[in-house]
Formats: sequence, C-alpha cells, structure tokens
Amino acid sequence: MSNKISRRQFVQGATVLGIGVVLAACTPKATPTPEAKPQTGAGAQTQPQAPTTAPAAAPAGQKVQLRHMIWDQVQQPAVADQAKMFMEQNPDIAIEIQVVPWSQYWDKLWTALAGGGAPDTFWLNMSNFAALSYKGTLLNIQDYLDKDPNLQKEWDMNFDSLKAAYKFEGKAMSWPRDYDTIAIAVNLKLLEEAGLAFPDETDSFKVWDWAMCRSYAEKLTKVEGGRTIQFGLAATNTAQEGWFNWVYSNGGSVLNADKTKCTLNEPPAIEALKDYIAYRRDGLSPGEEAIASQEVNDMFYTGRVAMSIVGDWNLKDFNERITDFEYDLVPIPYAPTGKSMCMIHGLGDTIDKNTKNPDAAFKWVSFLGSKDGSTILGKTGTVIPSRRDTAELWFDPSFKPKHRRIYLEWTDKSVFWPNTAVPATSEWTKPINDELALAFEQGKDIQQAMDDAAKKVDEILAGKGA
Amino acid sequence: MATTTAVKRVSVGARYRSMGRMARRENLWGWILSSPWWLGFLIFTLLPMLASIYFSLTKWDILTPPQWVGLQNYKYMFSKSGDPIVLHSFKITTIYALVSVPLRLVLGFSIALLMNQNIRGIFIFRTIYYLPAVLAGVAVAMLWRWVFNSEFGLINLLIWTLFKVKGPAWLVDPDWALWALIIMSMWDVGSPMLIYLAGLQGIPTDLYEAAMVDGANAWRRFWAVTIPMISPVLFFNLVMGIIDALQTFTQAFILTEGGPNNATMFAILYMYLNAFRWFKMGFASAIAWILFIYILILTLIVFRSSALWVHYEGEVKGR
Repeated sequence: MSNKISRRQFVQGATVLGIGVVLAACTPKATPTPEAKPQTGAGAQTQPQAPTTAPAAAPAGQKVQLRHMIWDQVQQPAVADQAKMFMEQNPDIAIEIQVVPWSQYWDKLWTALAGGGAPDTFWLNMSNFAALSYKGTLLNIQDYLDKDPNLQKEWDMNFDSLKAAYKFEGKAMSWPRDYDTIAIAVNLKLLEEAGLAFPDETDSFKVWDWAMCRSYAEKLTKVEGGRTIQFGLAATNTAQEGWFNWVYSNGGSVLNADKTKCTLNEPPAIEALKDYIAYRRDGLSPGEEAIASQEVNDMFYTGRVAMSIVGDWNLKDFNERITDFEYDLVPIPYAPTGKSMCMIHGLGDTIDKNTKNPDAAFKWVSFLGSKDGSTILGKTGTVIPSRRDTAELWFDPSFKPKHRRIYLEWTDKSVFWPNTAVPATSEWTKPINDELALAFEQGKDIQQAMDDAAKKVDEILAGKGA
Repeated sequence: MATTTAVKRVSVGARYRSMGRMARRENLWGWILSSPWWLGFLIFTLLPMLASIYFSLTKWDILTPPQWVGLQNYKYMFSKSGDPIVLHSFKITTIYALVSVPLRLVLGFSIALLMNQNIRGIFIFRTIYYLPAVLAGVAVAMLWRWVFNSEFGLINLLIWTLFKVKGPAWLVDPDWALWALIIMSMWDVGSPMLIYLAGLQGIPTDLYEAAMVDGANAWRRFWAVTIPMISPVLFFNLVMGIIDALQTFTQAFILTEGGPNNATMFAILYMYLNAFRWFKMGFASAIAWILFIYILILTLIVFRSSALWVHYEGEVKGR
C-alpha cells in the first residue's frame, strides 16, 4: 500500500518541484531597490561634484584602491603598462584592472551602477553613454577641467567628433580613449586578374564613387556553373561596417537632429540603401547564408570576397593572416552628393559618480588621456589613440597596408551613431535591424521597410508603451 | 519518529509534557537544519517573485526609481497598438513545445526501451546516450551552429550525400530556424531517457511472466504491461518536458538571438532582452508573470487529463 502511494507522490511531488523551478526561472532576480539612491534625473548630474569636499584624501600611508573595468583581454597588457607608469608617479594609488567579457559587461555595469559595487573607473562606449549620463550615474569631469586650464587643454587634444560624443548637455562626462573609422579593403591580386587599376588617389580618391565601386564589384564577381565563387564586395547587413556609411555620405541620417524621429525613410537615406542593398540583390555580395557559413574576414583572406568594408581594428589580423596576396585600402565611395563619410566610434574612460575616491579616479583617468598614457596605447598598434598628437603612432609608415592613413584622414569626415538618453539605444535599433533584414534577405521593398521601421522607432522614441 | 512518540505518549502518560518539549526542540532543530533551503527559497525565490508583481506594475530602468503605471505593461502586451512581439513570442514558444515535446517523449522512451535490453556492454551505450544531458548548454549550442552551417555543416552534407539536394540555410532562414532548434532539442533526451529506464526497470517481471503464461506476445505485453506501468513516468516526463520547452532560452540566445526576423523569439528570450538589454524591468516582469500563468494553465490541463491515461498500481477504477 505504502509503495503505491509513494510512487504517485513521487511523480506529483517531482512535478510540483518542477513548477517551483519555473517560478524561480520566470522571476527576475532580486536587484536591490534603488531607494538608497537620491532622485536622479536630467538635472541631477549638473550639480557640481565639489571635488575638494569629497573624501578622497586618504590618510597618510594608506593606499587608495581603484578598480578599473575593461572588456578586451587583448588590450589588458597595454592597460597594465599604463597602470604601472601611473602607480610609479602616484605611489599612494593602486590600480586593479578587472577584465569582464563583452557578453556580460553591460549587464554587470548597469546592475552595479544601480545596486552599488560598480568599478571606480571603466570603459564606456558611445551607445551606452547618453543613457548613463542622463540617469546621473557618471561623474561630471567638466568641473575638474574648469578648474585647471591645462587639463582642459589636454582634453581638447582629442578629435572633435570624439569630444562631441562624450559631452552631455555641454559637459565632458568621459575622457576619450581610442577610436576607429571605416574603409574598404581591396585584394590587389584579384584586382589585377580582373584587369582593373587601383583607384586614383589624387584629391582624396575623388574618382572612387558609387558608380566606380559598383563597376569594380561587377568585374570582380565570378560565377561558375551557377555558383558564385568570387564576390565583388561584401555588403553585409551591418551599420558600422556597412550601410550607415552609404547613408551619411549621401546626406541621409538615422535620426533627426533632436532625436525624435527616424529619418531612414527619407529620400537621401532610401537612395543610399537602395544602392547598397543592390550589391546583395544582384549577387555581387555574399548573402546572409554564405556569411553565416564563413565569416566575411575569412572570405576576404581566402579570396572569396574581393572587397570588404572594414574597421581599422581588423588590420592586425589582416596583416597576420594574409600571406599569399597583397591588399590595400580605399575609402567609402563618394555618393552623388560628392561626399564620402564613415562611421566613427570610440571608447571613453569614465568614472562612477558614487566612487569613494573621485579625485584619485580623475587623476587616473586624466593620466590615461594624457600624452604619456596615450602613447603607451598607441605603440601597441591595436587601437588608434583618441588624441591628435598620439593617433599618428598607429599610422607608422612601416605598418601595412599602403593607404592605412585613410583611417586618419577620414576622422574629420566621420559621424557617430546617434545615441539617445531614453530609451536605450539598442531598443529603438531593433525595428531598424528587423526591417533591414527583411529588405536584405526577403526582398521587401526598401521604402516600405523603412517606413515600417520608422513608425516603430518614432513610437519608442516618443516613450510610448512599456 | 512520529509514531514512536505517539506510542509513548499513549503508554507513558506521565512523561507526556517532557516528551512534548523534546518534540518541540526536535521541531526547532528541524527548522534550523533545513534553514539553508527555506531561507534560500524565501530570499531568492519568494521575495523576488512578490517584488516582481510590484515591478510589473511599474516602469523601472534599474537606475532611477520605479514609476507606478498600473496595468499599463499588461495592456501594452495585448493591445493592438502595443508590442506585437510579445504575443508572437508566445506563439513561437507554443509551436516549439507542441512539436518538440511529443517527439522528445517518444524518442526518449524508444531509446530507453533499447537501453533496457540485456546485452553485454549496455552501460557504455547508456553512458553515450546520457552524455548530452551533462554537457554545458552554451558549448553544445556552439557545436550545433557548425552542424547547421549551410555550406559546411553535417546536416546539409548528409542531405547532399543522400538526395543530391541543397539543404536549407537552417539558422538564417526564417522558415527553417525554428525547425533547426526543434531538431536540436531531439538530441538531448538523456534525462528523460534515464527516468524512463528507471521506470522500466521498476516493472515487476512477474507481470510479464503472467502475461506470457496467458499467451500474450511481445507486442501485447508492451501495450498491456509496459505502457500502463510506465504511464506515471510518461506523465512526469510530459509535464517536465512542457515546462522545459516553454522556458527555452539558451539555444535561441546563442544561435540566433531571436532572429531571423523574430522567427526564434522565445518568450523567455524576449523577456531577457527587455530586462537586460533595454533595462525595462517592469515590462519584463509583466511578461514573466504572463508566462508563469500560461505554464500553470497548461500544466493544470495536463494534470486534469492524467486521470484518463495515467495508471497507478493498485488504483481501482470504475467500481
């Protein structure tokens, strides 16, 4: 008797347990309620931080500990070198570098900024900058800069678009660190095989326009037995190394100036998207299917793709992996408007507003942005330093390829992705990505797709819904 | 323990009070010793659950205090001008569950029947078939990305070798991506298989012997003995399978991120995106609660239906 019941109880008990697991899994994990935080809002971070009153001055003989969070393991040694030099100059401050992988970085940073335990200083990217500034979580470094004209001069050494990107309501909230721009890599061997000359570089490659790029891509595409064995240009469905550059060259934009409306459905943007997506529709570019099978960079290394739109961070890999042919760079092709523009992005070193040691943290961040700190970064060759006087280090003429300087020359012809304070940038980006995927892959009419996307984006920007 | 106390309580009346104190002390120790579990449950499960009811009625981005919005989050899920992806994600999740749960049930059971054979080295096969259940979800998903690779993947290679047809672009084709994930779910039936196997081994052999004496062939023995005897285990695996399927996350998160064109946007994944990508905790909490209610209803339906087909030993029916 007892045996029968226990079996039934086992099954039911186990099921109840299962439901318990569901309960646990369905429920967002406890995050400390933010009642401890003062009411923060648009104006909160404009209050002066009053650096002198902050409890920064540690008692003599006691070291100030700072935790610095980054996500790139590859750049860890360079940051460690910077920290070493800094600690030699400032024996009373100890820097601990914490590497958190990209996949967890933002979850971790946001929750730590909300619940406490955030790093004192950390890398920030442009798409998270506006939202975090707006919510008053970043230390306003403008107050420090205002007190010391020399520091302000140091900060001003950064490229203009980077300075603009890291200002919020006219105040510097982060110290630019590095940046990247976009160009097009060309396989010179395949170019020669197709009987094409490298585009004339006079007057900043003025001849290299949409029509020329298109005709090159056509001549560089090879079809054998119904199968494309070589693609002219990899026109991927990405913004940074893709369509964004076409749109802005043609005078289009993603959002209007006050970031209330999506403008991708307006004529300049549509014209640019049509030209770009045509590479895909006409079979001159690998499709999503081929890209999913083999990464675009690998396709370029193996000669399956003759031209590829690439950011400068790829060059280290390119130089190591490409051994059996020569390659070079051309800029983003000129649009009928006569302009060639590319996307710029860069990171900033940023301070948590609630750090216990704002003075020490600022000292560290301003060191990272100083000529000394920036020089260490530039010598590694991984990323381009954000300063006009140290960026040159990355453009050492002994580095390949020949026209590497395009990345530098286009810095002043670059635009950054429009970030918004509320809502998070990645949220309103989703409808655009969804609709572009339909246009790229399913042949949806581009005007229709962008009209549909713009409608949803506008709603999200207007703060409608959840 | 309870019975001995009771016996003593009756037989030695004078000692009743002191025994009661001991029982109470024992009770207290019971609570103390089990505290890691119930404290954990209270702090990490029950309280967050209750808190999420509150958060689901607010707009909250973690960094600024929650704003009360009443039922707006729930309305937004279902209204026409709201967020259509929520209901879409429930639809995707349901299709996935409807197809994958029965297939997994049959497949797991079939493998368990094979693993129940008395042959030499069977434990090696059992280990092999159970192995997928102990592998980490993310690593497995990465592996499957290669299996589904449209040009170099194993599946399309097999399709090409057998039929000389080009296979679909699995994970990047909106028409095929969900099916790819369903195929993937067939691979990992180790856990249900093990439970079936335990159930199969628990069937008394005298039932089979009695059936054989009555002249039942193998087929008849399977339907008249094995199936009824295993039905409680089938039931358990069905309920767990439904709950598992409705909570699918890792595969879609790693392989497709909900794409292409939201074709694999599972409910939990969409909840995750809202909570940890867009920091819309209020809306995400509301999705969590709707999903919870949905799973609860489905589970209750299955429980109700169990009276019709689940056989418990010694249970007397229809009399």
